[in-house]
Amino acid sequence: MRRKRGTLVPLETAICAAAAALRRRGLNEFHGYELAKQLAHISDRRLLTAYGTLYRALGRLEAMGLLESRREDPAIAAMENRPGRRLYTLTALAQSVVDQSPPSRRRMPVRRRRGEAPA
Amino acid sequence: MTRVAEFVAACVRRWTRIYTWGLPPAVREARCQDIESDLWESAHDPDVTEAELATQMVMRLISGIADDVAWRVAQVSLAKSITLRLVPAAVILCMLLLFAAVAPLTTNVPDVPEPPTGARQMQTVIPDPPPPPPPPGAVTASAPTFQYGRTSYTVVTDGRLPVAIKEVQPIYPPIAVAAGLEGQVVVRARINEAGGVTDAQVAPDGILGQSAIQAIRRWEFAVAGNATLRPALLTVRVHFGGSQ
Repeated sequence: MRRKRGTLVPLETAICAAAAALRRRGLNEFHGYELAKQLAHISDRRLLTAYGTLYRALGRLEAMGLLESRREDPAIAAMENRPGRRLYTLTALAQSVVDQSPPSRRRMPVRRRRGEAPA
Repeated sequence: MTRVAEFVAACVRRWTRIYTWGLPPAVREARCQDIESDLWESAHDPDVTEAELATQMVMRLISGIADDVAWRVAQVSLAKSITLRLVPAAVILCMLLLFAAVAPLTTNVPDVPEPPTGARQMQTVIPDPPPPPPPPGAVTASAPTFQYGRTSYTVVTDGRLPVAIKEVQPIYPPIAVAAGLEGQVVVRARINEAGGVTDAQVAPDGILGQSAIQAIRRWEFAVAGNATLRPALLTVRVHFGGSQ
């Protein structure tokens, strides 16, 4: 999908809204699968967002400065005997826009990193 | 996890390996870890039944293939654009290094005799007085002779005091001699951890200054014993003319 510069595609808007909903539930940091479940819950679907679609969109949002991510401490993952998670956080910029905008397609300020390819 | 779900998970892993093949290792591993984590979370999700799990994974795999390919294309384009920026920079850097290495060899400064070396423990080093002039009527050598500037240097360091193990004496350019150009120039530079002289600057600049800076860039320093040479500041005063 081609986008107008400075706008978010519906999936990106939905991800921001889902992340904001997770934050309201007390989850400041969340992993990809949690977000996929929240997205399905919001849109009332059983099927989760595809792997490629989800992680590509997360990468774009991170490049735009709307999400931040970090690798989980490997010791925690090792203690729980599972693969390490990438934990995402909604930035203050994205949170303010989600809070102020109507739930329709939002126009969000985009901070693009050098060399980042457009979606 | 059922055998069907395990098979589908293996397909997801294999597909991830395929579409990340050839990408920078960090990018590839990051994506593989994301998918591995997602597979584990879905397999341990109490809200998903065994039957749903395999279906979910198949659908998520198939419907995301186009985005996987698009992501890969974007990553390759990004890597190419970085390479396209880095290659010219690397070429320019190599040319500058080559020029810096060749420039001292192509200058017209003839080889000068090595000054006597030895450990000097004083911080400020003052040269030996110039040799007395030859007696009148002495036979002069047929080889061309050069006059040199007289140097004295000061080293400032917070580590062990380095001493010069190679002091190339600045040539007093014949043209300056002929023109009666005399005076003192001051060269300020750094001594790096390898004992070389870097970042040399001279004041005042000019024919005498250039001669001084070319010689002092070839100086080498060392510290006694097994101590490590720490970066130091070097000030060299070069006096041309006078009692040459």
